[in-house]
Amino acid sequence: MLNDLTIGQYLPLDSPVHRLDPRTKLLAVTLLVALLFFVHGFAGYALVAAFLGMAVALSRISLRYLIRGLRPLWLIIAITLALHLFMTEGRVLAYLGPLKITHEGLIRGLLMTIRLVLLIALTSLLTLSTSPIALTDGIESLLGPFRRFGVPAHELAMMMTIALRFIPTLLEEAEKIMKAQMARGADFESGHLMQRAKNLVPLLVPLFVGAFRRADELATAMEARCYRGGEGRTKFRPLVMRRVDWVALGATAVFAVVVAWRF
Amino acid sequence: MQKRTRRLVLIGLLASMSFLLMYFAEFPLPFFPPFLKYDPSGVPSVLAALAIGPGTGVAVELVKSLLFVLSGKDPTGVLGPAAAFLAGGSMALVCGLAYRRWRRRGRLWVALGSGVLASTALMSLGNYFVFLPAYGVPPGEVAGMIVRVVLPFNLVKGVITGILVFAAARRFPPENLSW
Repeated sequence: MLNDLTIGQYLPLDSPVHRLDPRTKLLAVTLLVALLFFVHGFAGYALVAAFLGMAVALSRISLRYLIRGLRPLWLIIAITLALHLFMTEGRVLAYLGPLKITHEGLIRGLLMTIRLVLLIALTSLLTLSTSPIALTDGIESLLGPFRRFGVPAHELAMMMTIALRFIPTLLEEAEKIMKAQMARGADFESGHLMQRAKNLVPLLVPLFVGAFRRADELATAMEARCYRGGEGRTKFRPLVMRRVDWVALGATAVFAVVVAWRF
Repeated sequence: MQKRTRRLVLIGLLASMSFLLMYFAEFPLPFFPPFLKYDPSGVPSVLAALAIGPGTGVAVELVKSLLFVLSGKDPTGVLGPAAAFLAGGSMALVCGLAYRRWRRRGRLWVALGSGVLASTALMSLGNYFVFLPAYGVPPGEVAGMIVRVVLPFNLVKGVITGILVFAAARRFPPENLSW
């Protein structure tokens, strides 16, 4: 359990897409996701798919990874497709027992499926090519301008960083607690639903209390080092928007506007 | 020690715990399609809402959901974590608020019950307007799916989380945590 933990699905490769500023990637993905909800029709989706394909090729991430990410979703996709196929009224193409497949259903089902797949592939490319910590930095910086409206940009990023940092530590602790409880006869694997849920309590309580204790220690350590929030805090690796970033962002924006306008 | 720093750190740690529970401790529910799974990740946020305040509980859910998006662990990208935030955040918020208001006997039951109801109601609305259409479910089918799948699923999920919180809170009352 401990050894196979990678917090993100991030693939550390060296490629133009990996080297982009996280803010560029976050904004570009947001734009493209918004675009997907504007576009209706195969031509528009094909263009978005082509744009995405270009980005994937540039990122040197093999398509296998993107497709593997879609695998857990096949049932959702199949159900959506089936609902559209059989439930839409229109010109009947074929009969399948008591069910009928209509032309309209086929078209709408395919469109919706393609949109879902593109949506997921887009976010997948973002998280495959950017580490969670870089994305956290990017979010902090993007939320920066909203600080004056009371958005706690720094605090949010700090909490996320702490959470990321402590995932392996807490996992180790959870394993220790599980083993200790199993030595006392606890059973985490079997039993029916309520039993399984109830068996989690001896794990949840020590973990929760442990988090409180650890929070005390960490907060003391931070304050001993004069942590006082985001004001005047400097960064070890400041984010820099290079010319490539502006070009990539500009290209995405132009693409999104043109496609949204024409399709 | 400043309360502010301590709260910030605690939210981070509880979000981390919640993330782990979401990832490792999920199990399928009987009678529901396999992509609707139960995970006890709502427990830390509700406990935090009871022990410290509704805002803290919501913050735990927010950080957990954001982490889930960034880690790319959720196959649906943004949709799954957004739904998880709506469900968990509303439950923590309402539990925390009700726990503060209700000072009579059965305080914990009232708080948890109203949390479950609020979460189920909000998830039905959220699925009606946002999530199911985003997954591409045809508009004619949305209402039926909510009554048959979304409503019972969220009710069951909320009730299990509620029972876990109740069992945990009986072992150490939230008020007694040194805060």
